[in-house]
Amino acid sequence: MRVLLCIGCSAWLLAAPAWAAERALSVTIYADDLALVQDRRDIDVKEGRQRIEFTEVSGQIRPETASLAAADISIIEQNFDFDLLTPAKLMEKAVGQEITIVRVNPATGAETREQAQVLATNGGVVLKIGQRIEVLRDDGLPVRVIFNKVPDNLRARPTLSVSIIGAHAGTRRATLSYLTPGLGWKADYVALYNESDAKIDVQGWVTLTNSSGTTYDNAQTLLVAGSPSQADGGANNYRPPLRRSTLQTPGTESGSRERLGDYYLYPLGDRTTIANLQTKQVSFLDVHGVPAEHGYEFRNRWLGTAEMPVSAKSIYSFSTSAHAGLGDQLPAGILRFYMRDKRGDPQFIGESRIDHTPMGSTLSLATGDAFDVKVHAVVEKRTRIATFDWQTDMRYELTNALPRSVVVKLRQEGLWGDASIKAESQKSIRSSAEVAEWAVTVPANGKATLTASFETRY
Amino acid sequence: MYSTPRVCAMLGLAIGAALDARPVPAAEILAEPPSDLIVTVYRAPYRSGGSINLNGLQGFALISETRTVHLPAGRSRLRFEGVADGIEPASAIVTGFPGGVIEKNRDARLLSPAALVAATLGKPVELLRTIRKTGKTERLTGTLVSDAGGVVFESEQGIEALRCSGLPETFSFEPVSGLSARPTLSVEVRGLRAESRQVTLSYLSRGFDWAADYTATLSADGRSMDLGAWVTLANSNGVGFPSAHTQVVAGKVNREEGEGEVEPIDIGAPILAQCWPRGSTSDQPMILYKDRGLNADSLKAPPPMAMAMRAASLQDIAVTANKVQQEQLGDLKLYRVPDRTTLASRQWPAANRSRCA
Repeated sequence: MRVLLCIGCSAWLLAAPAWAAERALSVTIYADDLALVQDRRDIDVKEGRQRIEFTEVSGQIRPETASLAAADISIIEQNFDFDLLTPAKLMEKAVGQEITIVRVNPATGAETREQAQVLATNGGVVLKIGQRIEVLRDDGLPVRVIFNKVPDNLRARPTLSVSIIGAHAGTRRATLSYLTPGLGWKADYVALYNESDAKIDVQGWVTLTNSSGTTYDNAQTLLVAGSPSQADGGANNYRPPLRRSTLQTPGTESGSRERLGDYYLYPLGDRTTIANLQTKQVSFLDVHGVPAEHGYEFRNRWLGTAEMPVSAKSIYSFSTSAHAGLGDQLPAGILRFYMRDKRGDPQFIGESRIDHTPMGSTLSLATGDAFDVKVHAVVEKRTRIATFDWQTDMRYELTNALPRSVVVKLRQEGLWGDASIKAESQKSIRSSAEVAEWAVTVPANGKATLTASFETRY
Repeated sequence: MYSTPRVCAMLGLAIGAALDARPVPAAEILAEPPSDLIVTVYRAPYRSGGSINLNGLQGFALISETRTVHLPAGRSRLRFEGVADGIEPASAIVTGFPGGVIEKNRDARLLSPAALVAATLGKPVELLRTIRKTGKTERLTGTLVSDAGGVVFESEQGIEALRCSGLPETFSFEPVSGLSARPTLSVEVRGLRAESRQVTLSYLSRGFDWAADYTATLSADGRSMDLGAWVTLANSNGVGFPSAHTQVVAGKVNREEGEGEVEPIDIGAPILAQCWPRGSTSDQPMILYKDRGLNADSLKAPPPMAMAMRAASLQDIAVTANKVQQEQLGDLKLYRVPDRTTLASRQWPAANRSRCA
């Protein structure tokens, strides 16, 4: 049980709004397994000190974030009862109290009722029957145990209880707000690539998951794209770095979506029920005929030499700009690519994770390894020129088994900034001090070779 | 490991008919079983060579089902029963609705003894208690008060815990709604008018794999050889795919493994009938643990599906002499089995082999 004392609770007092009779739930879900639940219901308040119980709260509620607002009450303390109603707890709470035991004769089925006092439940149940002490079912014979009542603070489901002082008796509308993990959302995208005109159709879906242990009936749902920071407790904020950066150029355009500070909001149109253990998807994007570029990419680490040729990555890039793009910002999620086969059925060709992407960005997504386009990178020679001066000769052999020519973006990484290119068979672009880049054309069913000499200090 | 889910599934068949009877706000309709199936199997991405690991299929498949639905006008909730247990709900695509799809849901709660108890919580239930000697059954009407680590029942006689008395006790439940026996995907759609339509449901599912096996026969002079290749398919899902158009895709496609993502799933659980401490006078003294209460963690979602999907042992291998056709699919290769094939569920273990060269 957690007890929170309220300091300055009068600050929460609100003027009573006009209310409807039923319960109204609104749920705001953030992308990092965190949600704000606002639960408005009518409560019956007596005058004076009392305890009010809120059942059907999230099973993973963070009780320290809970706050209750209602007219003419002041809050003394808040408890989150995790004392669940189990047979063991029932017996434990009955220590010192009377229970009824019904002995059942196994031969005849005849019942004998007796009153007993529970003395202890340590390891086994010790009872006092009349002036004798007995261990419950020590002989293994059937004995029914009947309790008179369920102790007040034992519950079948986690319950938040609040001790308040009511200024006057009556029904009033109360709003309980709290944060809870167990509710989360992400985006899922479906992209159908049309090879003949190099265009994609993209559908975006928000995917809500609820594993909080509670069902939220008819909840007004709002999704927030962006990652609010949490001081502690909440979700695990660690995210492993992306293996390959998908964002080529970040966008600078603004959309028409509603914003909350620096985050974007995605309200769901209708009230919806988010059942426990449910995955729910709602559409938010449907764009057709966006130009997309298909290419190949190969990245080689410094002094990377391979025994066997390695497949180039198959890359699809497109824009999220309003002109010739998706025309929307994209919440983080997974984009799945499909392509039609010869019979016209869409087939899955790979997926890629994207981060929160502003509108107007250029995305370049790797869907997998190209079957027919391979690169063989070899360190041919390392020569010492001076004490701290080395020359490295690299050879890259590119092969293409496709019946059309392809362009492979070849990136030599790990140049540190002190490596300079002394000679190369084709002009490179130094996209950063770290990386040299070549766009190598490989003819249909053919080969291409690229050589480069680097001079470095080590 | 498999006995429990199977028992649950049988229970589901017995009660299944009663479950759909409840009235629901949006009209609830059941899609007909698939009339056409397309299954495209992808290899386990990190299995380099060698044969399929039948104890844990790491590959996946794209499944497209064509189903007929009888849509009313207006908003309705359409249920697709019997999708693969390994379904990745986020990947589901439904097409063929002119009025559009409002939302898609996958309820992970399957009909199981524990789900039945949870659904009956706070509602009337009948307790059946039988005297072993006489065979007489006493029926006691009451309410299910708790199912949090042990079942507590309240009747006019008082409060009792299930199966703590040493007598044979069980519940007889009233029909419940919203629990299905088999993995189910449902969509909320808006129908423009009442009509029957063919719709397509496509999704990715775990628990598949395929491998190519080559046989080289050297000629007598040792200077040439005949090369034959076989495609072997495997399915560890509880759902079979009868006479499906089957393809396999060669090449490594990128998959994003769920990094810290929650996929709620409930694989079904037995009724927990825990009682109070039941030590007797002949027990050894036991060590006292400080925290014996029900831990908050035990309320969280059960572990993900992957574990339950493992351990499908596939033994029989069906051999067909189909010649597989190859075509280009972007940067991948697609091999099509020309005739329809049946990819049976793990209950009738089968790996299909098709000749490819």
